[in-house]
Amino acid sequence: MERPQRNELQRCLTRLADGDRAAFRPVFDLVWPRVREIAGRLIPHAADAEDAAQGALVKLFERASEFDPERDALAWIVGIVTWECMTLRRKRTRRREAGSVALDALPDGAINPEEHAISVELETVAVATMGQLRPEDRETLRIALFGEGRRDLKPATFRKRVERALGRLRAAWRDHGIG
Amino acid sequence: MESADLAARARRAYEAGRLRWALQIGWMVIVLVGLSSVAASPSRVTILLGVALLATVTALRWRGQTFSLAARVGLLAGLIPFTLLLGMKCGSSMCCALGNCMAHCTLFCGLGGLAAGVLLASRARRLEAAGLPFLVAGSLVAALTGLLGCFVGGLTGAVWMLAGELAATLPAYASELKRISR
Repeated sequence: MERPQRNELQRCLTRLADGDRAAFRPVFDLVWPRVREIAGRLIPHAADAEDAAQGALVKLFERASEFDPERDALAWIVGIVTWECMTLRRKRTRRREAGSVALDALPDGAINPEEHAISVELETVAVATMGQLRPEDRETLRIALFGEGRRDLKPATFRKRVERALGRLRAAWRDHGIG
Repeated sequence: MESADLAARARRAYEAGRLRWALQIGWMVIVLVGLSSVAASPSRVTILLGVALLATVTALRWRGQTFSLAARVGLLAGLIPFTLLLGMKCGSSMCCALGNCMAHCTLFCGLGGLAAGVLLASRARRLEAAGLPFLVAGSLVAALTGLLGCFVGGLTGAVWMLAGELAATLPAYASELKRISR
């Protein structure tokens, strides 16, 4: 961002923090491209980056009244956007860990015969692949993916176990020539 | 999402965030109401004044700019009669030993109101613009804060406090009105 633009941002954000609603549009116009750019750099997946940018922008305006004019506006914005992006990344990673990696590929409610055949075949492979796993891995995945059974471990230990079991499932899945 | 939709969402977030920020002053009002309830006995007047003060201060802070400043200065100004009266109430044994208990009370209310008014007027004079809205909003907040303490002096005490505040701010009001008409 060029120096004059940066100064303009500082001025407008200060006015907005003071409650001057007329400064809303200029701040929005100055900030949105910047937020998008930062999110794009931090999150490689375009759709995720767009989601993160929108979330960060909303959060930023939510906290605009807390902005301290003594602070640098751009640094403040970068801080909020980075934090939001990292939070979203962590959330997505956790969801991917918890969600089924291989089962995601299964067609949901196949309607035509071809899709049905593929679905049955994938299901067979999935069952066979699960069968290759150690009983404790199968149990861990059953709890993590389908919520069946009791989870007696600490969350961190359980997460580690899920990670390991998913890794083994992925390897077995690859052995079947899928993935 | 379209830019206009996103801007509307951001605007809503801004207003909600601003309201949350404005409500943060609530702790101060709660402390004042608590002090008033402890020093005088808890009454419906204290609660009503506290609610009115919280609503006013929150609305002013949410609106921002001059109004936000008025809320801050008004609270500070209102603390003068509030502290004077509650201080007097706590040391009433000494004051009332001199006799004319209620007379002292009303005198303190009047002096507190006068000091609050002087503070508001001097702050309004330093403003380049929007001096009148500042005075109106600031006087309202100062009056509500002061009344939280001065209601122990009864209706006379409250009237004296308001009269003192008005007397001190009257020249500032006049000069602001003159500035506007020019």
